[in-house]
Amino acid sequence: MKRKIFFSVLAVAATFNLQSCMDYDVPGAEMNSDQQQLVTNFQGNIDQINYRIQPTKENFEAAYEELFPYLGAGKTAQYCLRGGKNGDVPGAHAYQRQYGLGPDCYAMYMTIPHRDFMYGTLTSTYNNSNDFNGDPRGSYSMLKKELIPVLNHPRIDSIPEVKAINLLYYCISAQELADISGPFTYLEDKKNIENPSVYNTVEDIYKGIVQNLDTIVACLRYHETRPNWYKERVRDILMSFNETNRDLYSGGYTGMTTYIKLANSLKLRMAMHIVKVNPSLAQKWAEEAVHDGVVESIDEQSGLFPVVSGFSHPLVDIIWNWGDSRISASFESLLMSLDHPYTKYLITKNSNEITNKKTGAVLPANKKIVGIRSGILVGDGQSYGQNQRIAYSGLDRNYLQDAPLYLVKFAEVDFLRAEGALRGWNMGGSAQFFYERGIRNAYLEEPDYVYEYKDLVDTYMQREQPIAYVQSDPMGDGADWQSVTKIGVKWNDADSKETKLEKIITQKYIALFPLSTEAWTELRRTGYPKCFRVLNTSDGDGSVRPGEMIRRIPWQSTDPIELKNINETGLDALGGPDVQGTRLWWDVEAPNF
Amino acid sequence: MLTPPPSTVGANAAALYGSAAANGVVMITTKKGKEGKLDVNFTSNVTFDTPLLTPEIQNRYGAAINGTSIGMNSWGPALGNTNNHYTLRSADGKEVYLRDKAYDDISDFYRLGVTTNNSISLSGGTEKIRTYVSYANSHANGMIRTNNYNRNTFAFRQSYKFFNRVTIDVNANYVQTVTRNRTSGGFVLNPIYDLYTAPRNVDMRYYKDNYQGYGTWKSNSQPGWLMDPSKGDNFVWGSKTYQLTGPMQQWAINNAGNNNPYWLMNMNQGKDKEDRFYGYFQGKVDIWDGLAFQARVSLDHTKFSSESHRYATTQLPSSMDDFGHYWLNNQKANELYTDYLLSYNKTFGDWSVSATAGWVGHTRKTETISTDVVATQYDGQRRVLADDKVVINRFEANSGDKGATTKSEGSNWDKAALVTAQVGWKDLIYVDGSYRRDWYRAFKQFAYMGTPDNYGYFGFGANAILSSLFKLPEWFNYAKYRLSYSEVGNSIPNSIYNLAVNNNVRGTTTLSGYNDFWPIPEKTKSFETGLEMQFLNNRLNADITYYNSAMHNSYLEITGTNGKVQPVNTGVIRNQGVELTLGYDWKISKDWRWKTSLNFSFNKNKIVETYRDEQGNPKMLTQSLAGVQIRYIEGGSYGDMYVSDFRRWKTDVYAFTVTCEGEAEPITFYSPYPDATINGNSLKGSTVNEGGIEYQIISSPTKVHSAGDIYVNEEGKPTIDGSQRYVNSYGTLSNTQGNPYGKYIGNMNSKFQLGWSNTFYFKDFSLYFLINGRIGGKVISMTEGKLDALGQSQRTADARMYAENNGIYADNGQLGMYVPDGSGQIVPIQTWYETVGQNNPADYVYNATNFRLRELSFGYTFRNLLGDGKNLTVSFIGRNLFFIYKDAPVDPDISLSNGNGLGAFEIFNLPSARSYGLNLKLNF
Repeated sequence: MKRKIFFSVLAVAATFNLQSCMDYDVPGAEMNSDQQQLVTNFQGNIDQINYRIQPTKENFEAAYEELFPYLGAGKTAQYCLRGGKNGDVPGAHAYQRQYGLGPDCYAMYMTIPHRDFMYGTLTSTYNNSNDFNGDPRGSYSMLKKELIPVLNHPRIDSIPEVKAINLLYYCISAQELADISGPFTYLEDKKNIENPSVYNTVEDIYKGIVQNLDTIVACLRYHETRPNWYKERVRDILMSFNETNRDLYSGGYTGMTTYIKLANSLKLRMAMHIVKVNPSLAQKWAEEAVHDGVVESIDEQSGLFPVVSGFSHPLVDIIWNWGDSRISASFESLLMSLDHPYTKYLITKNSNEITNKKTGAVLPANKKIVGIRSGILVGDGQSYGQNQRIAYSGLDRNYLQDAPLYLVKFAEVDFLRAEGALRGWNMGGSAQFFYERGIRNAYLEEPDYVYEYKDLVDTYMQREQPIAYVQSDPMGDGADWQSVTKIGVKWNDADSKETKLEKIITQKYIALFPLSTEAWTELRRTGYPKCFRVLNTSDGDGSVRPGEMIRRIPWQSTDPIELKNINETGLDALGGPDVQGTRLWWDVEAPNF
Repeated sequence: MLTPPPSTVGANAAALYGSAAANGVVMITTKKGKEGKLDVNFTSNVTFDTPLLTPEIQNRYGAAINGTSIGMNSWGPALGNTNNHYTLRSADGKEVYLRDKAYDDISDFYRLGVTTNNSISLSGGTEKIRTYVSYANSHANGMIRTNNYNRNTFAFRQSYKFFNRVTIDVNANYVQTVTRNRTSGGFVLNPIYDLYTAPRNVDMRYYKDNYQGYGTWKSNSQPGWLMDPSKGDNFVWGSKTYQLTGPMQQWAINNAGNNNPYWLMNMNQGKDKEDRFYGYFQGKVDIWDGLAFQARVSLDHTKFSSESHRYATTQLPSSMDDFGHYWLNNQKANELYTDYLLSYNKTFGDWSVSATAGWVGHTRKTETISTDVVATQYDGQRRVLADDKVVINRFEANSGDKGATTKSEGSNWDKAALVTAQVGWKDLIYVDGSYRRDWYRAFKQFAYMGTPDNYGYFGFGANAILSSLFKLPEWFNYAKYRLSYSEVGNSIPNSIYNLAVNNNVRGTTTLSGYNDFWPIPEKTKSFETGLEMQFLNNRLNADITYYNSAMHNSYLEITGTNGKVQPVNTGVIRNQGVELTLGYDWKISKDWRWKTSLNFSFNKNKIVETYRDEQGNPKMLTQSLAGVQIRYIEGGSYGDMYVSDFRRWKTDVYAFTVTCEGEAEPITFYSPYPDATINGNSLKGSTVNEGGIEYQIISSPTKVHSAGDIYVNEEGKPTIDGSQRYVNSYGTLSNTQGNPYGKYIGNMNSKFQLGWSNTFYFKDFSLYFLINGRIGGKVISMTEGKLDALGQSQRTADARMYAENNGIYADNGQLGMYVPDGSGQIVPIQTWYETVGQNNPADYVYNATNFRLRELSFGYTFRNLLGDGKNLTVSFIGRNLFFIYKDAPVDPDISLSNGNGLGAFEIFNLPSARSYGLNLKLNF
């Protein structure tokens, strides 16, 4: 009996060995070599950059080691600025969401030739759809997810230049967001608050950004005084984690130059935006920026460059593989009226026959440049067989695919200075000088591959009167439209101030192409260039009257928590209802001068 | 969010099975062999499946013809109804085959599904050793031609008894399943979608036989290095469009997102294979005087592999697939359980005591290797190739780009310690209690925050056989009362919340998209009580149960206002209900017998508490799907659905026109009042001087809209954003702020479920039928919406025929219909249905109330055919035969995805099947 009990207990004890085949591991054991666990809920002080501290080598290396896993997030954010997502270079999917479905059309650069998308329909240019409204704001959300933890990291203050440059990227995105929809939770976002609820006014956002820009510039200028070992370490970091200048392509490290110029040029751009609502502040910002130094050569430009990062301009896929974008009739009319060089090589002619539905007349393939009128009610079909609009003009991919995605373009800065000089500000040169230099550098192509533009630009700049171009729709959809471009290209000191401004802004508009957010902002601010009216404005939310243009992208949230925040602080900050027609802070209904 | 189960588990089961019980896991127990003789059982059945319900598609109107192509919908002219077939040919050789008379293409597409099940089992043994062995095969040919399924199952169980105190149990099962061309639903690459939406004048019979041609097409532009003489003699990164040749899809519509359903079905094939071994080894020792110990290790090993391919020229949603695509997946999962139970059972006179203490450990590890490649071979240096060197449809794992194979691992475990005890009195009253402590892996990553990784749950129960305790009337034979309370926990998802991913090629890092949260496990607290009764010599039995189950701390992911995912454990959702079963067994005469049983259940769901923020304010949470928003509001029910209403006129609107100097055109002013005036003067022909401007009133106010009418714009298109249109202070028209999802349209869950089954026996014949159904709930058919938007549905054809017969035309000359608000506005039928079909789900939400003949079987038993006690039963069976009542045009029991517990959304699903067949059962 006892033996049997003993034997039983022994058998019992033996089974406890089974536990060794159980592996109770910790979360993270299943990660592969590309994955790691990184905390993101830091709370620091973004606005303060103590650049005067003198780091020791030990401090620096210790900080670098803790920061290193996060520095790659800064690069993800750089790609996010212009249509990248999930750590990858700019691509068609995110670019279309950010620009293609909204701002490209609002700036009157492009029109969408069909209406069926997998995630919703867009029946016309101003059609207001919750499926798409949030997309242009998506770039900021993605960038913020990556940059805010880095900027709040406890050790970031040990390498102030890295903090400054990443803060600069954040400022660019914040400025672009403020111009798209208006107020957002700027201050709480910067503090890495998880559920921000207080919307800040566009005025506060602009002022906050410029304050940050001043700090950034001061920090980057101080870099000169650093010891050599420090400068070399920073150089290593920037050459590994930053791709917004051409250093990696041209082979030479240019230090802080491009970043300082980028910050000042952004300040100059923002100064011009507010010239109607606060002229004295505008002049102060502009003169300070120019005095400190803005972009003054091709090599000082910042952006995402296909030749640096190795990708094709996303519009190539969007236009040619997806059939989701075509030149707008307004842009066609502008370029043809001025006989712009693009009409001779960049804009493709109709890719197929187009038949007039009413008269039966056939436009043979490859005959002329044809754009689609903004606001037209488009039909289904992404292939020519279903939808003739697919045959309308696009952009030649040979020039487009290496085209840079600029954060700031040399030509844009020159036109800003031209306008500043026109307003009597101290811009370091005359309006005519900047105007002409701007046109020379306004081309869209990769600067190393510019041929046709350089040959044609001189003739272009001599044009005094526009051609009386008539825009007609080969499908017979509507009457012929006379061109609304009544100015030439050649600078004429005898022109009125208003005409000079129209010339400057018109050329700047062409120079900014195809990046539409800034073009849309300037179109709203100045009313230039003169564009065709948008058809079917009632297809939107009804707040834009025929003949007017859209002033912002509404929030139109369906999330109840977000709606509560909008009702409590957002609408006050906006100063009007949440509709397409509400003007933003700087968009004052007043004359240009 | 999990759907809380309406019925609950008893206290002891909850303690033993833990969260597996909360999630409704089915525990499979294989039969034990019987002592003494060898038993053989054989069953075989075959059933045939046909679609139960398919949408009503019109055969009258087709697509408009634009030169050499057709429109992508059926809003064109009526078909001629002759037997002509004709072809459109475009200049580049593309052909479109059309017909002049439409047929029922759906019954051509589906075939008769056939399912066979065969199984054989042997059992037997001696006092010491008992064995059970079985083999089963199940084979099905689905209703879609290329879909089939085969499963082989082997089961083995043997138990041994040693020394009268040790029992060893061994159980082994092996299941092998092969599925080919499994179909799902949806809009993308779904042959059912293309079948239902093909314009009616497409010659489907031609395309059924000729889905594949052979030809040349232009690819999309492909990046690569090419020699560009204009840029020196160097390779430059550019792109090239290739001329590709190969099997080419033939279809009437050449556009992204549109495919020939027969091409999708025949050319894009996939095969899934699953090999699963599971079993356990269990030993039980009777140590001494009622004390026993049991140890068990069980293993579940699954190997799953799938291979599928897609041919070039298949149309994806945004562009055409140039080269083809290939997928290869291999997944291994190993699940290991070990448990130890020490139990004590003893009787002391009238009292019995039983107690168990135990430990359960459970790990699960998975490994997935998947390959997802473009079916071509790129040049090693990514140079562009000459057209004739380009490979397409190369369905191999080493096609495509480098780095196309990824391996990922998963790991999860949980542990539990438990103790249960039960006390009984005279076998009439029992009371039990239990306590369980769970450890969860997911909580370990929050240890730095001080979050515990183990949590406790308890339960208790009691039951009593009332009929033995009290004297009941003679016709009241048996009554047993039971009650129980149990708590079951469930872990948060086993994700890594701070996961950052590096892209080493780009040098980028993507940080986690989760906000912080303090995690708690979900806990379901269930109370249940019931009475089981038998009457009239045990002929009538009844069981009534009341349950009240509340799920606390449900895990939910909402979107924080910073755009990141905010996980929350929040709220209390309560399910309360009653279940009733009544059965009657009536032996009418020697040869006749009737058994009937009625099931009834009622469930009420309430969201008692929802997510509360830091300030303690309740927040409404939402989930959107298919244009419908599911709202979780305190006081509401789980599954409350909201949609947006039409933009309607807020008040009556009167219009009058004036002319004034300086304006070329007359101006229309509006007013909410019939006696609107400018300066007190509203009569036609009056002249008014207002603010120095002379207005000539040329028409008196006439009513143009009534309050509540649906607003349509000049094209006849309504807007669906819940806003209202009103007359503003300037006399013109404005819209109020939109009110998205402002209209409640019902709750998706049914409150009542009923079933009634009957069996009639006459000698050796038996007839069985089951009717069941439910009352309440909603089903949303996106299929009906899309068919309306494309002019495919009978509904739109009826509207057009009515318009033709009654001469109803809209302002633009198209066939018109009256706006369904009684206002008399006429809008073009196409504009109306295109907008409403895409954007107004309210029209496509139907009542899910339905009753159907769920099962019918008629059989005969050949008793003692092969000897004493060896019977053969043959029966004819039918399932889902017809609806007795139904309100929706689709089967309300269809469900596209159950992943988030959101009930019935129907999006071009495979129709549910009506089946009938033969069943054979033999035991000897």
